[in-house]
Amino acid sequence: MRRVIGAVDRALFEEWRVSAHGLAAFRIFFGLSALLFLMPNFSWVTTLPGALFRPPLGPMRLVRSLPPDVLIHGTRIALVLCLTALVVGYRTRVVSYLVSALWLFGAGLAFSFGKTDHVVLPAILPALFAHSGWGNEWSIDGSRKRVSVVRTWPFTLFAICVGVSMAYAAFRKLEAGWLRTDSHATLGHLIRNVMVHQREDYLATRAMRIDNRLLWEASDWATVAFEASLLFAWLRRSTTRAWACTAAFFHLFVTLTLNIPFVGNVFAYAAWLPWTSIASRIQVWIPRIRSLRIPAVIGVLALTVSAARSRVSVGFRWLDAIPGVDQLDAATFPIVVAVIIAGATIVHWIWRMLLKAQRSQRSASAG
Amino acid sequence: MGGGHGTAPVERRIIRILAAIALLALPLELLIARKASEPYPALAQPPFASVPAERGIAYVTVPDVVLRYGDGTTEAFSPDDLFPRIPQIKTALLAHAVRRLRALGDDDISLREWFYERATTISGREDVEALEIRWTRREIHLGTGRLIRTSVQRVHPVPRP
Repeated sequence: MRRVIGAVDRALFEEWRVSAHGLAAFRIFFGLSALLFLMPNFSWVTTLPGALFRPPLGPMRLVRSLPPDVLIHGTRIALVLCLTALVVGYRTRVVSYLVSALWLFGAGLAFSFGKTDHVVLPAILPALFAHSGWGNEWSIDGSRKRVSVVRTWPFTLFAICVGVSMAYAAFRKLEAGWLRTDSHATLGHLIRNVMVHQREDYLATRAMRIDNRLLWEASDWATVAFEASLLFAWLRRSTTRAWACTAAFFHLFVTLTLNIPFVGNVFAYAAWLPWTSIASRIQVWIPRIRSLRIPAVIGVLALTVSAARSRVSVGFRWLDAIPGVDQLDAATFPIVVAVIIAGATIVHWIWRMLLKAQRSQRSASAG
Repeated sequence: MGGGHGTAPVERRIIRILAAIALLALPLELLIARKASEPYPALAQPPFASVPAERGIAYVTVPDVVLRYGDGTTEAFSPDDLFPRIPQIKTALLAHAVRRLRALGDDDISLREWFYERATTISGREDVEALEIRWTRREIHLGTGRLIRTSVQRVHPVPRP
């Protein structure tokens, strides 16, 4: 027993090492990823009849009826603001908890219509890292000396949470009979996705025609084994990272065949990247890319235009926070232009804030 | 560089308890999912907890909405037609709607009213007399993807409010 507790203690408190700048780099990376790609879209619930509202089992059941539209849109706008505050590191600890709470609540609204998606990992990540000290550097908190001790246990705790959530999927598959040799569950789901949900992109229809029972059964077994494996791998940093690498390929395979992109998970696994060395490289680059400020703004502008043109469905999910933006068409071009200008201004403001924070950091250390 | 050497004993204890809670969530969630339904929020990834294929045949069930007009003709619409611009799986939404219709019964006719309003919109006709949700089962040969058989499994009529 003592050996087990020792191993768990080592995993929790000694396995991971990261600098304050490393944590800050991860905070900015995660915040921007959430704003651009991951933020849950739940504004559409306002278009459905209230009688369809039936929250899933859990605290969401306390919400007796579909909240008014203003609260739903307000939640989304609040989430955008909190994520922006997280990126610039303003009141980082409180904002981290708020992001998780708003994310889970908003997604919970979307899941109250018969289908629960599994986006919990990026949603809980900010709360787990709230006390990590990820707001110490490259932040408003840092420039105002509102810093805390750097803690690394959130990396392990997050690995445990990912391990448990993946193991949940593995055990449910075991119960359902995925390992029965005549099941070919992966192929069955592939066919269902193509035939029922019209998910025919990438390799879906080609994969469906592969008539190799052994391969499909091996795929069932490999899926269950892989999903259960992080339940043990979290004890070591090296095995956690190896698992995350495998997971990236696993999710790629799932995207190519089943057309289910678990983008949120992949961004969440980024927590285990070597952020200290990434941050030290960024510190070298910052003075160099400073002169590229204008091209960077133009680049972001171009990206925003392309996102707006693709009806904001691919990226830039934060635009959905503006009620009615998903109804945009060519006739509402002035609104699109206004949004682009606002987006570019915010990015420019964040950029200046980061530079200012770094300058004050330097002058403080020089003084 | 942050590490764990300086972590206070009280904090260590709290973190150990949090780790234990996270690990214990697994059997608890599995139990709740088995006895009732999947909880939310939960540390859970998609279980795909069904096996829609057996002995070389995949079984898929597809719902659609069938409208009967005043002149006796019928027309079928897919869940995509019923729920446009909804980024959810529409078949799951329609299945949920059927469950809600059953649960609400005659206590709340707003959902039935909504169905008939949508039926008028998607068909472009004012003479929708009856609406039903029909589940069709398709049997597909694994490997070749050939459709072997289709059969109507069940029909859920939605009476006019």
